[in-house]
Amino acid sequence: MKRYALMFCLLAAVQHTQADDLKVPKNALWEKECGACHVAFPPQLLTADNWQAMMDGLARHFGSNAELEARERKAITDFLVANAGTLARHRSASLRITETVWFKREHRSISPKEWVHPDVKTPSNCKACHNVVGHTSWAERDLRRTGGRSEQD
Amino acid sequence: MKRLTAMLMVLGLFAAVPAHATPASDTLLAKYKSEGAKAPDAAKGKKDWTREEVVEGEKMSCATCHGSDFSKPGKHHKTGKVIEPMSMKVNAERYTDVKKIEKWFKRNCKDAWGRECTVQEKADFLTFLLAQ
Repeated sequence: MKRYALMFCLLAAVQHTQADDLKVPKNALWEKECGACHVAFPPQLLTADNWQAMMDGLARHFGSNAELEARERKAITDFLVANAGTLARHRSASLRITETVWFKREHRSISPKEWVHPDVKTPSNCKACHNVVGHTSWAERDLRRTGGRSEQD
Repeated sequence: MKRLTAMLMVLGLFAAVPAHATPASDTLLAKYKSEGAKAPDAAKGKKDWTREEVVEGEKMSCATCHGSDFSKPGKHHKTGKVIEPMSMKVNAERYTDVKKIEKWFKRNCKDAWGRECTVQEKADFLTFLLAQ
């Protein structure tokens, strides 16, 4: 019985940390440079290898040049690698977070219609639905759906 | 009274400085000059703004993403990212950060022309854009 109770607690803990595990230490350079063009995607969402490859290829970054000075590139790479995801579900051969097993599973209830909604356009447009992004909270209670509906609607 | 006249004269001097310059743009134009650029040519900058090069099979110019109405935002042709207006009359943040200007010259010249811009081209662009 004790064993079941322990397992239950562990499961509850895992569930509970789902929304919290996107929290990252504050890093002004990462937010400024990555956030200049898109949401500063949390480092946990790709593996260390993925981030390294991404940061080695900034001259061809999904169709545009995003080169950084060597010093800044290294500082941001170190931050991303140090906080990277460690599980296979965060690995992406294309380096796109939206193609990880984790992303697809987290968003399995989103209908194809919503992804192409004019307010959304692309799955990488986190801000379309997630009100609070970055180093603070990605909790589901902060979600809104297209057309201004909240998650509860 | 004399003092007031003197103050007005000093104010007049400040007013005579063209509005289309920033400490950052002054720094950069001096840097380009020290690196071999001749007197900046705004007309050349204007011409170059719409000069198209084929990069990876696509015709590209500055205007492809920034547009040519400098008081309006532009839009990245691939990602759709909104690009804040280039005119400092409507966007006070423009041309205030030396590092930022150089960073984007490097990225955008490579994206639009497939190579970095020369110091002369950058001096021409900057002078043209400051007047918009």
